[in-house]
Order: sequence, then C-alpha cells, then structure tokens
Amino acid sequence: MQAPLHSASFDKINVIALIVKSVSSYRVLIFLRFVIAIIGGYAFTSASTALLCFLMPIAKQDAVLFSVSISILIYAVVFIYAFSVKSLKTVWISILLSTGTFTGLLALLKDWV
Amino acid sequence: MKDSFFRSMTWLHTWVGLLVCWLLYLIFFAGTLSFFRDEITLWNQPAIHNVQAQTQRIEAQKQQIITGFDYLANHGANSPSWRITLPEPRIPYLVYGYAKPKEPGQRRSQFKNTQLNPNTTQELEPFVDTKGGNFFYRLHFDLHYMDAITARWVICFASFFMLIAIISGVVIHKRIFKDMFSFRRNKGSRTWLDAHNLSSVLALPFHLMITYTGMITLIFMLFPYPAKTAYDNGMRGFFNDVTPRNTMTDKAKGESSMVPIQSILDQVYTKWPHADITRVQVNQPNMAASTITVLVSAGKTLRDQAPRLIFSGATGQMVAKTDDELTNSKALYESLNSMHTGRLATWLLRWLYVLGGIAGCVMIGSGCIMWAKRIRERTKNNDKPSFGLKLVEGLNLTTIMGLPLATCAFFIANRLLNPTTAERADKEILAFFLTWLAVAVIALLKRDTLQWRVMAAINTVACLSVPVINALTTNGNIVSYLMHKQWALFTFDALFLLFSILFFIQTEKLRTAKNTSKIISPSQSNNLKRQKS
Amino acid sequence: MIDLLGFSLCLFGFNGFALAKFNHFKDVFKKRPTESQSKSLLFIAWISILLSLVLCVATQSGYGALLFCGFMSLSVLIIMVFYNFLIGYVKWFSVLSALLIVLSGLFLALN
Repeated sequence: MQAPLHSASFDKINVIALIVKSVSSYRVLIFLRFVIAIIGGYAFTSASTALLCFLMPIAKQDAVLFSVSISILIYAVVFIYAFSVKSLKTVWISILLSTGTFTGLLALLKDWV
Repeated sequence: MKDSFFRSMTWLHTWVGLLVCWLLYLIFFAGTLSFFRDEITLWNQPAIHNVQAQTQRIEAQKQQIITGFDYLANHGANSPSWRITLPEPRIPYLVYGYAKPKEPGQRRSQFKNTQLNPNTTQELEPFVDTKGGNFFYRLHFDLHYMDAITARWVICFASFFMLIAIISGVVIHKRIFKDMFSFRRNKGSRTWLDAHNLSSVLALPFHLMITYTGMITLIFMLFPYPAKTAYDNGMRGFFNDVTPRNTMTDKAKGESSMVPIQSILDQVYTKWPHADITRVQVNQPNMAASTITVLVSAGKTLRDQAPRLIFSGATGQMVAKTDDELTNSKALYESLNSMHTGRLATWLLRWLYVLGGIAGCVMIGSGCIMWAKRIRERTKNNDKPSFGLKLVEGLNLTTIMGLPLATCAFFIANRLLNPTTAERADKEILAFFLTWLAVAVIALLKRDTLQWRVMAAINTVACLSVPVINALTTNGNIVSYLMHKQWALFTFDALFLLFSILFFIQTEKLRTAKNTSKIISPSQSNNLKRQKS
Repeated sequence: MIDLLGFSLCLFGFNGFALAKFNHFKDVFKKRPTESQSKSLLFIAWISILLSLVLCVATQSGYGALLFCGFMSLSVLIIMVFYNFLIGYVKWFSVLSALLIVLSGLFLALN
C-alpha cells in the first residue's frame, strides 16, 4: 500500500530533527572539537610556519630551522585555544579562516595561483 | 568549552591521557633506559667487559687513526667506504671498519668491523649478535614489529597529547607551590594524587623539555612544509644547505692515491688543538673524488650535528666543515635536539636525566592507576565491571608490571642464548615481547590485587636473577666489578638488586592492601554504618 | 666540586622554601613561624637558589642550565623525603647542608 502523502513529509521532518539532534549531542560536539583541535591545529601550524619561514628576512636554512623549532609551540597554543573557547562555531571558523588566509597569502607570494 | 578556562583544562587533562597513557609509559620507560644505552650495550657484550679505560685516550687517537689507515688500506682496498671509530669514555673499544658490497634490498651496506682493545691493539673476542641498549633506544621512537614511519607518527601523536596534558596539568594545579613537598602517606587515593603531583612538579622543567624536544627530533617528518616552501627542491635542498658536503672535488673522475693521513690530522689539530676525535670516515678511498671526514666530539656544548672537517683525499685540502659559530636559529634547533638526546651529559647530568625519566614513569603510572581507581569507585558493588574498567585495569597491570619483567627477560636471554644462534639479536627481543604478552594474557583473565602481588613477586625473582645469571655465565660478577672498579657493570647489577628489593617491598605492601574487587561504593558503606549504629 | 657547591646552594634554598611554609615550620619547630621569620626564610631561600643558578650558568653555560634544572629536581625530592618521612632529622639536615656549602666553597676558594 502506498504511504499517504502527509506521512511522507512527516518522515522528512523526523529525519531532519534526528540529524539536528545528533549534531548537538554531547559526544558529537566533543568529537568535533577534537577534530578541529588536532586536524585544524595541524593545518594552522603547517600554514603559519610555512608562511613565517617564507617571510623571515634571514637565510633560508635559518628561517626553516627557526620555524620548525617553534612549530610545536604554535600547535600547542592552537590546541589549548580550541578547548578554551566555549563556542565550537567560533573555534571552527577562526581556525579555518586563519589557516585559509595563510595558505592564500602563501599561494599568492609563491605564484602557485 | 566549559564555563571557565580552569574547568576546561581539568576536563582536557583527564581526557588527553585517555588512549595514550600506556604508550607514553612505554616511551618513558624505554627512553629512560636509553640514557644508559652505551652501558647496557656494554653489559650485553661480554667481549668488552674487561677493556680498561685508557689513561691517555685523546693523545692515543692520532696513532690509532694512522694504524687504522694502514689496516684498511690492506684489508678494505676495494671498499667504497672506510670508517674508524675511536674509543669514547662510555664505549671503550676501537673499531676499524669497511663497507661490504651492498646486497639487493639493503638501504645501507653492512660494515665488516674489526674491534680492538685500544690498550693492547689486539683484536677482541668475537662479539655476540645483540642490539644491547639500542633496542630500548629504537623502541622508544620506532616501536617494533611495525613500519618505522607509522610508529613515529603514533609516537608524535602521543607525545603531543602528553605536552597538552603537562600544560593543562600546570594550569589546574592551583596549589603548585603550597603543596610542593606534600606527600600524605596511607591515605588511599590522596596518596596516589600526591605521588602524581609530586613526580610531575619535581621534574617539571625536564618533562616539558623532554616532551617538546622529543617532537623536535622528528620535526621534519611532522612539518616538512617550511622546508618545502623555502626551497625549490624541497627537503633535499634544505638538507644540502645544512649538511657540510664536498662540492669541490665530488665530480672528479678516475683514481688517485690519497695524501698521507698525517697531513690531514695536522690540519685538524692546527684548527682544533687537543681535539677529541670520535670518527674518521673515508668515502671512495683512492679515487679522485675521495673525501676524508674527521668528526670531533661536541663535548658539553649544546650541539646536535657533530663538528667535522671534510678533506679531499686526493689533494688534502679542506673542502667543507660545520659552522664554527652557529646562527641563533641553528643554535636554537641544535640546542633543542641535543637537550633531548642528552649525548653531552657526563655522569652527574646523566643520572639527573634518569631521575627525571623515572619521575616521568611515576607521573604517568600514577595517572593510569588513579584513573582506574576512579572508574572502579563509580562502579556500584553489584554491577559487573564494565569493559572500560577491565581494559584500563588490564592495561595498567600489563604495562606497569609487564615492562620490567620483559626487560629482565631480555637480559636473561642475552646471557642464556647460545652465541652462535642465528638471528640472536632478534631472539633476545622476542623474549622481551613474549614475556610482555604473557603478562597481558594474565591481565586479560584477572587483574585483582592478587595478580598485582603475584607479578610483584615474579619481578622480585626476575630482577634478582639477572645479576645471578650474569655471575654464572660470565667471568665477572657484582663483587668482582666493584673490586676492579668496573663501575658501569657494577651499577647495572646493583640496580637490578635494588629493583628486586623494591619489588619485594611492593609484594609485602600488597599483602595488606584491600582487594580492589571488594571495594564498596559510598552508598553501601553508608548503609553499613547505619546498620552498625 | 663546583657542582657540589651549586647543588648544595640549591638544596639549601629549597629547604628554606619548605621552612617558610606554616605547616612544615610547625612540624619541625613545634610552633608557627612569625611573619618576619617566614619572610626572611623566603628571602634567604631565593638568594641561595639564584646563587646556584648563576654559578651553574656562569661556569658551564647551556650545560650548566640543564644541570641546575636537575639540581632542582633532586633537591625537591630530598626535601620531600625529609619533611614527610624523616621530620625529626630536618634540623640536622639543615645544618649539614649549610656546612656543605661552606666546605665546598672553601675548597674551591683554596684551589
């Protein structure tokens, strides 16, 4: 027997409600925070150290050595930041935006685009 | 993420320890042992037990190198690579080696090494095949039985979480100065907390340093991007820039006899009088493109790259060298690396490093145990232990009691395995891992106070048996080491006796400890109190 | 010998830090410390530790800095053991550690 039309739209609302509920569940929020801290933090550190190294007005090998030496410090700061700010949205946006800016700047300076 | 920074850091401190604490315990355990890498290798190699320390070690180097060149010219004339390794205070023998032809599938060619007693210039007894201290050294960053790169990524992940745990730990330890010397005994979980806080604060500079610098040693695997961005040919370009290489005569073709080594050494001593030479390497001997590299000890300076001079073998001129003065960036990077490896440390600083390492093991171990106790306390009496609780308690028992036992097995295997056994070094390592696995199986079945007590008793016997078996299978023993002032060997045996005593104390303490499975929840104890009154 | 002087200064300093705290002072001397006693103990402790740091770094630069951190760890361990397990011996221990400073200092000065 074919499902009646009104119950089909009811199912759609149920599914959306389910997705919204699961995303706001505690475990998923924690998981997302770890994702941005670990992966986002790594991306931020990679982009910032690469850009820093490129911009430093010292010999190339020295710039590389300095950037890698402070890389872990940068990563640790970003990681702690990701767990200090209450709003998960702020954390995601700030890290993604800054990483994107660094990468974009680097791409422009190095004529990748 | 929580209402306050403090609360967030409290939450973070517990949870970053989650998966990685047992791996971190292994890293600290093996890493601490690695500070005595040379002494362990010495103990594992009876052939070098009786090599006496040289009285004029540095003065003897010139002649040792000259003799070595004669030897290698005779024996390794067709080899592409020669290496003379001079005796060091902690590695007391001389090695003349030349590379054998590379076999298919080998990354680097094997060396045919001749080991000599530097006092008598006689060849030493054949060495047994053992990894010695290098097993623990490699274990703590390459793990074992797995691809090294994968292992290093896992180790770096764990180390980074460790760094976060330390930072968050400092943030949440409000009473860090007030409680610096507090240790409340016999107060159950408070005592464990005090042990955790004490071992963390006591060696806090060490913990921060060793964790941060540990990742720095692998930093080019983690973040190759700066080098890739700065150099058009990426990492290769960077390495070429920072490593002194011969760019003057490396393209020369054909054969050419080499200048006498004395003329090279004269140049070395002119630049660095009283140099403590560690190694002399010859590439492509008797070719026009040959190079002779002389590496000297960095002594107590914070340098990671061994200072060296590279000469053309054919003309005798210096073609490359390490920087005399390091730039600030280079000094920073080399300091960080040299602080981690601690190669610069003489006996006092080395023991202080080991103290820090032991504090690290206590810090991590007490953290693991507190976590298990916390889960146990939350388990109501009639509930079956959850999978999580069984996992945590099982891994605690396996790691904390299993690693020492596995270490004993490694050394006992070294003494008991026949010197002519094939793959002998791998078998010693197998003994380590099989023992560890056996403890894991026991922990899988049951992990009560009784099992901890049994393991403590087994460890008591195992630690005691190491110096005993040593006495029975070699010419020396702890008493003879003391009499002949063989301090490294004496300390090795003495430490095992000390640990045997400590494990015995643990066995006795566990006799009177409450059985963990019978700990009742607070509500139950309240009920009992009401019933009694 | 210079290491011994550096270490004994550090140990003495941490002993001072411990005694400057009310609970530890009370355990040793059976009475609470006055404000000025605590302050002077703290002052002496800081001087001693800073002397140790300066000595280590001035004589052995980077190596000395590492050594100093190690000295701190060992000192905290020893002080912890005395104040929690051997409280009765703290007075003797304090005298001994002060003596160690004097002796190693003298030895250095005379050689």
